[in-house]
Amino acid sequence: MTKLIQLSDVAKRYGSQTALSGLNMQVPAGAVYGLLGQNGAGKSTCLRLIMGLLRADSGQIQILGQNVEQLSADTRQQIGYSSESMRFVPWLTVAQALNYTRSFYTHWDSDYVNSWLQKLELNPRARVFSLSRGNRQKLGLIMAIGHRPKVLILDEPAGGLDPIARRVFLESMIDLLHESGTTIVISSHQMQDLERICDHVGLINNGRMQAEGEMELFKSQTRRLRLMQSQALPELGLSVIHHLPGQQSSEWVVNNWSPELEQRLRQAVAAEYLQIDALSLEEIFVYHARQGVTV
Amino acid sequence: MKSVSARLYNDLNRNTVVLTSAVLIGFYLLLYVFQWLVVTSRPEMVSWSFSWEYILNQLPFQVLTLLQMALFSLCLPWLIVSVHGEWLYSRSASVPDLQRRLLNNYLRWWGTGALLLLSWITVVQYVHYSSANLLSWPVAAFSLIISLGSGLVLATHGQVSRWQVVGLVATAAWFFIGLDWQYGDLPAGLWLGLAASLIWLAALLLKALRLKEYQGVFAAFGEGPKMPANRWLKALPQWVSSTQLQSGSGSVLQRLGLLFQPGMGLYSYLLLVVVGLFAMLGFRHLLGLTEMARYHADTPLILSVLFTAVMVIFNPRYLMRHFEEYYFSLPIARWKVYLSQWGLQGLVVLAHLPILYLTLSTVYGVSLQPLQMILLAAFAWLGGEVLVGLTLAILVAGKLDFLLGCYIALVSHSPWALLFWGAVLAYRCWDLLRFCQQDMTQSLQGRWTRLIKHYALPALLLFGAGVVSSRHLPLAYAVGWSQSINRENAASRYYLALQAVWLSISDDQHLSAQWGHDFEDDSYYFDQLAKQSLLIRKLLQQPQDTETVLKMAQLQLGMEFIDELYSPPYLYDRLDGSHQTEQPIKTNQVDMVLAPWMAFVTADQEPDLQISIAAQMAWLKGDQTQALAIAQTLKNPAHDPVTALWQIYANIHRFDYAAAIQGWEQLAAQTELAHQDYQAWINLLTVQNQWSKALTLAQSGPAQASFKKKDSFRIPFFRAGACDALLKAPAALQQGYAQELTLCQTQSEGQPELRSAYPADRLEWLIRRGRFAEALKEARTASKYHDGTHAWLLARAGQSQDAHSLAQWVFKTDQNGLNGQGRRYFFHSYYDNRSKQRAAETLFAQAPSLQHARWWLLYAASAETVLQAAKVLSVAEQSSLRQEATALQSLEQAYYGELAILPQVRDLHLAGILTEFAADSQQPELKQAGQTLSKLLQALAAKT
Repeated sequence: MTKLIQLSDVAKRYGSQTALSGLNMQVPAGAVYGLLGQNGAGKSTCLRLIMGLLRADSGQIQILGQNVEQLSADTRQQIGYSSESMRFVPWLTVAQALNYTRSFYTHWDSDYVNSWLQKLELNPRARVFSLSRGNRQKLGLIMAIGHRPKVLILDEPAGGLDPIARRVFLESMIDLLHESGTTIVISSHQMQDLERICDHVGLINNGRMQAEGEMELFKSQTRRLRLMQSQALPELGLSVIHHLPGQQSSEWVVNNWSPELEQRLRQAVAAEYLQIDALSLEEIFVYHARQGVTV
Repeated sequence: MKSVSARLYNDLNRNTVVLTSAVLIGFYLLLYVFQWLVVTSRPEMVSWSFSWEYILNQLPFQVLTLLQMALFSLCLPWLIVSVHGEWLYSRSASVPDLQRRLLNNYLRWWGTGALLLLSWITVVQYVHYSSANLLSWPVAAFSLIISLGSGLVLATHGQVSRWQVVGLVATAAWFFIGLDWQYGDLPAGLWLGLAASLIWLAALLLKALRLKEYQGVFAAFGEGPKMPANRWLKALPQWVSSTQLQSGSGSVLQRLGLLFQPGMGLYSYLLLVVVGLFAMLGFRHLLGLTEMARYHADTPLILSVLFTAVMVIFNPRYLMRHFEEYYFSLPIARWKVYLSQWGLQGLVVLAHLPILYLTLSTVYGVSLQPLQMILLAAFAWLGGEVLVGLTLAILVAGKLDFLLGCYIALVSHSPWALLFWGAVLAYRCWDLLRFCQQDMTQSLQGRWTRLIKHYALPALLLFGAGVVSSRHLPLAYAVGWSQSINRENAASRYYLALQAVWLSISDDQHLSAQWGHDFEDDSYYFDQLAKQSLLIRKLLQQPQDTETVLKMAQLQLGMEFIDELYSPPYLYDRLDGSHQTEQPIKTNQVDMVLAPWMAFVTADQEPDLQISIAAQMAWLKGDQTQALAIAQTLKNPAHDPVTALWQIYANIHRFDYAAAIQGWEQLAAQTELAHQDYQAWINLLTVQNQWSKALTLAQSGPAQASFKKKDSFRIPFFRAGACDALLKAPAALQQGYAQELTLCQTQSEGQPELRSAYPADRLEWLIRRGRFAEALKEARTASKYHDGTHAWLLARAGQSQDAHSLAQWVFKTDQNGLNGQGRRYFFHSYYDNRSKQRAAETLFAQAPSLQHARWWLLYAASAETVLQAAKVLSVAEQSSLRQEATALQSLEQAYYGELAILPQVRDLHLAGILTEFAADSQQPELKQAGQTLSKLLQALAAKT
């Protein structure tokens, strides 16, 4: 599958503070890529590097087949970006701000924008400075998709949205994905949202990509194993990211789970002593984050 | 909802407090500036005697100025609101509500100020003041309309109103036509001005009404307006949609213009006001429609400082960086974003150029050509915020002269001036490069760190360029060439050189004002400034054109030195205080400006003029002896009056009074001076001749050390009663006697004007007219230097005892003082001398003695008095020669105790004087007495 976004061994420092260190990331075409990570893990830095808002200290960043530092104007026309921290010219109305943004893009779908204004119940005559945080985010999202970009990068896009608006937006985004094949990179703390819409996921911890892959594969490779009565975990080549010993039972979380391993484990451990659980994305994130902390 | 309202309310309160404080600070600031203006523009109030009548006479004008300043200061809070808008917006404060509140406050302030101004103007129309012509209706209208219009326009940034356009047109019409158009009793400009004011006022009220309605809708929707409620709301700014922006607006220019627009909305009106106001002022000045621009040159100065401060604090390019995440995410190259923001900033910076032009031309008399203005504009655009910041820093530091020097040097054709250009160009490229490569940053600390890092290098670069280029700047070529400043470091040299340039332009105004010239009416002064400006322009184009250099030096020196050369009494006075403080500056001026200019001139080029200039330069530096020595090398008859004057004084210095008189006659012939007019000059020289012959003899012995050569030429027309000759003299000769002329004019205008004259002159004026009773009254309040005259007047009034005591006191205190100071072993000043002579005369009249006669002679100020004293003295000497001679020796020892060569000095001096006068005397007994005394004293000197 073609990789629309590729980061290779990217590092970024803010003075003495290291934000990213040897980060690798690959976003396939047409994917909805969820970027997970704790606060300060480097998600926003990563997305800003992809957008060219920041410059990497080292490493390679490519988007749509071009180096991000030499993006042509045409290529930039195919990228949309919205961020929770983005500020708009406050004295404009919503309509004026959209019109202003529209003038920078060669292909702007006004009907599409108007439909989104209605869906998200955003008053086009309201001044930007008078908008609430959530409404400003709605405006940012509409600005980012008005030109129907090929790549859409969203940094915490739904942080200020109420649950209803978030659901509408995310479900519609899936429609968008289906309709036009837009590749979306999204960072969020809303794991349930990401689990619902993403087909790829990357987990950043301490400036490094700790885990990355297709959502289903990612989830299918992670299992929580619980062995009763102090049974030891057999040496089967399992990659343990978390271990919790106990008197009655011990717990392991592995991230290279496969049917073959499951079969071998069941052969090695009696069924009454073994419990295998699939994990939600949020649980996986937590275990990975804990691993990052302990490491 | 409640929390939002509460936050809104808190924001409003906080902002109102901030802005109210700004109003007060603005008022205090401008009151302070006003005080400064009063002092600097009315120096006669300080240097001349304090007169309540004078102050009362000036009061209407002062009050008018105060009111004008108060009205202008009302613009200040609006400036803050205007440029602070983003801050308010970003916090979701209710700007309309804030504006509504401020609108009310503004109207209250403005209304009060306007009412006071109009009332005051009305009142003074019915009160006769000699200066009442300064108060005019058009000026009042100017203040009202500009303050109101500026306030309104600035308050409504981003909102177009047709009423404002009408107001602007009316203002412009009034400005160009109304002020000078008289119709009936009142100028038509008053009506036009009032009409324009009414239009502005109507616009302001409509604005208030609209805001009120808008506020009502705003409140109804709670968090923010959602739908317009009426047609006024529909008229709210739609500037973006009105441009009919289309997707992907094509060309680079269109893209740049697009990026430009949000900032434009905020600053366009500010720009409009700045450019409009000063362009109008500038055009008026250029067209010569009125002298108002000249008279009100302080206003652009103040406003320029205010606007500059605002521009620096709220730099548009950096304001837009709040939205850099948004802009950088758009499909447009960063360099385009940079260019657009720089363009916006450049327009604001360029708005200062009319201010600069007006200030240079009206205040400093320097007129820049269009090409030079374009060069300045380009430089300002390149330098941008760095340049504006430095300008403000220099203004705040009060170094306007430095700034002026920089501007003048910048537009020169010197290759070294390119260093300045290179510096700003390099900065701009560097700034662009950084902008394109830098990271977006959102933290306050990050922004500040980046700001400091960003500006540290260009500031150093510009400063370094200034220091290096200072060695070769065309108007400061002097730097590094002058021996007197070689010990200074580079920065000091740079500053001193530019200061010297500034002095060469401004010092005349200072001197002229210092001596009480009303330079606003002095066409001569402005003619000189015009000539100077022309020469400066020529020098800027051809810095090494020797002819221009000579003319410049000649003009410069002619304006500079004549006042001092021809006013010895003042010269003596200035030795005490002010002159000492000015001397280093004048020395620098000579060393750093005039001397380098002269270095371009070859020896064979007008040698006599060069000698004349060299003599004047030496004179300026305080070395009169050197000046006269140089002047003595003049050989050919001079063609210009100044060189001719130097020839005359060289002859005086050589005590060749016959040649001096001949020189005067030639000069008079050249200038077609009538015989009867210059006869008084000749008479004065004759007096000098007689007096100096005695001095010549005295200087032939060891007495010369106690004499200064500059004592030998004093031509005090006023004191010598020769004003008629001076007043009738042609302008060419009068120019050299500016201060004497002022005194003589004062005398001719009658007694009332004497109240503002110098106290000593007033006293002498009364004595000369035989009004001794009034003179005595005047003398009672005079300084201690007039105690002798006071005693003399007391004696005339019959108060012998008091007169005697006071006269004795004069010499008693004088000895003490002289022994302590050491420099006053010759005459302190004309009046001091005259006062002591009168004290001695008083003492002699009441108790004749050789000592009293000796004093009398010592301080005699004219040949007539010398003869009289010498006669008395000779008689006294005959009676008891040896004893009195011994007494005289003792007296001299006491008097000149600090000098080792005495008492011989005085003895020989006296002998010389008496011998000379005895030889000239037609009276046998006087001739005999003089010869006898002379022989005796010479013998006594030889013995000791």
